[in-house]
Amino acid sequence: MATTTTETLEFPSAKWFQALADAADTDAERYRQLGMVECTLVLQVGDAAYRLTFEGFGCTGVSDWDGSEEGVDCHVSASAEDWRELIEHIQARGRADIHHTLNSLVLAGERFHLTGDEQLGIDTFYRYNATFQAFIEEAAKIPTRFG
Amino acid sequence: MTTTVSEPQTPSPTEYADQISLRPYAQAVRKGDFDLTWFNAEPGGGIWGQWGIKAEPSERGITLMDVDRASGLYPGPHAPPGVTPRGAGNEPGLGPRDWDLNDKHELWGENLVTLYEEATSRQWRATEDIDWHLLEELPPDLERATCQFNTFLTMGEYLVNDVLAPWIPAFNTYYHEIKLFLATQLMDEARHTEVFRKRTFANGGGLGMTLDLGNALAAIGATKISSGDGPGGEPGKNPLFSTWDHVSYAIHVVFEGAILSMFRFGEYLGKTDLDKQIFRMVMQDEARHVAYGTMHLKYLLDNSPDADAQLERLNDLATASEMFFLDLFFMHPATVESCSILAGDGLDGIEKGLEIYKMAYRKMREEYLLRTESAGLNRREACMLPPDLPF
Ligand SMILES: [Fe+2]
Ligand SMILES: [Fe+2]
Repeated sequence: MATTTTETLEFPSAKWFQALADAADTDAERYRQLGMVECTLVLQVGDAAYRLTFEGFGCTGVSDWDGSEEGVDCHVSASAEDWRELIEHIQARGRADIHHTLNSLVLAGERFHLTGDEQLGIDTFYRYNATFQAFIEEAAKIPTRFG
Repeated sequence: MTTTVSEPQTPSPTEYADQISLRPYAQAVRKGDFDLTWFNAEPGGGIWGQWGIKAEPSERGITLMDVDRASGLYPGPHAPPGVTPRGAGNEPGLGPRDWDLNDKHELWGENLVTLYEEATSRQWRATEDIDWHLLEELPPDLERATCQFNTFLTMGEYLVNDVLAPWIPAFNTYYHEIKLFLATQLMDEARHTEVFRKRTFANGGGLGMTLDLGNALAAIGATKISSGDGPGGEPGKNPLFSTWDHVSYAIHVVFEGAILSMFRFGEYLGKTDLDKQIFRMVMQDEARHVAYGTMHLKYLLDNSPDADAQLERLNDLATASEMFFLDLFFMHPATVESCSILAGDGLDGIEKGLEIYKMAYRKMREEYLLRTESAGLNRREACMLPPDLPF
């Protein structure tokens, strides 16, 4: 059974993103209510990148990204500093304010970027947006050390 | 002088009860002689469908994909003329029934079944699932702009339902997926109308100025299905809405592609956590509608028996749709200005906000071009949506 971590985890790391998935699992009812998801995201944090697979009602797989676009729907990328700013903001407020939602950040396109090989893949980011927003806000529960 | 209109063919309730009690089936049952045609029929013999099928539930429950997998009842390229649900048998003597759309390429998209399941799973309620307590009082100019933007969106939502709803009976029941998916879309659009309406009345504002949107559509016949346009009528006069392919392109690809961008922009513009939440939820629904439109377009172009002619027709239609919706939406003063005020954080920032509005328009245009391209319709050279707005 998934548990919320009390261990301080380094960001960025696959372990840190796995902790987000575990934190989401502890709130399964909320994610079930948001609805099913079928999507693979690559989150790029500076030079590092992680592949997150969402199936059913939650995130079922986290790994270091091997550079393959096979099965990947879209990428969300930003510098390590900008990810850090986002995560520290969420941890201070408990959730994103109006300037820090994922959609706002990628729509502005200044610091965060949404890309993908196919528009239909990019569109999955919109189709499951409320789930992804809830998911990133799990960061509030993860004791974090920035690498 | 008053006259009494009698209808001799309609019996009284007592007469009717007597009549049905004389029917052979009623008489037979009274003697314990049941019909049981359906019960005794051999599976696969024409009266009963299959037997022994056991779809396995996944974590989500039993999906339509699970049922297709278990039964092997995937849709073929042509539907039989009848009301038979795909895989069922028929009562002896059951007659045929005509439908307007009987071929798979006319309506299918490879994501149609999964999108239906996604739609049912990701439904939400405007009354309970929106955290209305997160509303905060806004400066009057921002509240007024929010209300105008929401008024415009409310109109767009019922416009879509008015155009799409009459098409549900056009599809052969064999392709239940399209009927079911459209029903979810109608529910989605109803909820969007509802949530935008509620938002305008929830924070000290109210509904704003009605745009000439519905009138513009009515004038060209979009809502006049029975008088000629659309299913069951004469060939439509308005090419935007005369066939399902055209309706789906004009509505799902052009109109809702633009609306999806508007919702993303609305989330970005939202001045309270509540406004952000509303736009995240409607954005998800809208992206499903666009996903069907894109994949239907692809299926149509890949499978149409006259793909070249189809491509030509669609290009003509795209030209007309692009001009039509640009005028209705992106160039309308009330929309340009309400969005620019929100983007500029107030009336004083309207000019700065206009630049952000133009940025959102450019993104919308690019996403539209990428979607059509991926479906096999290259609009990059011919697109009537200008690369930038003329102000
Ligand atoms: Fe809608
Ligand atoms: Fe829609």
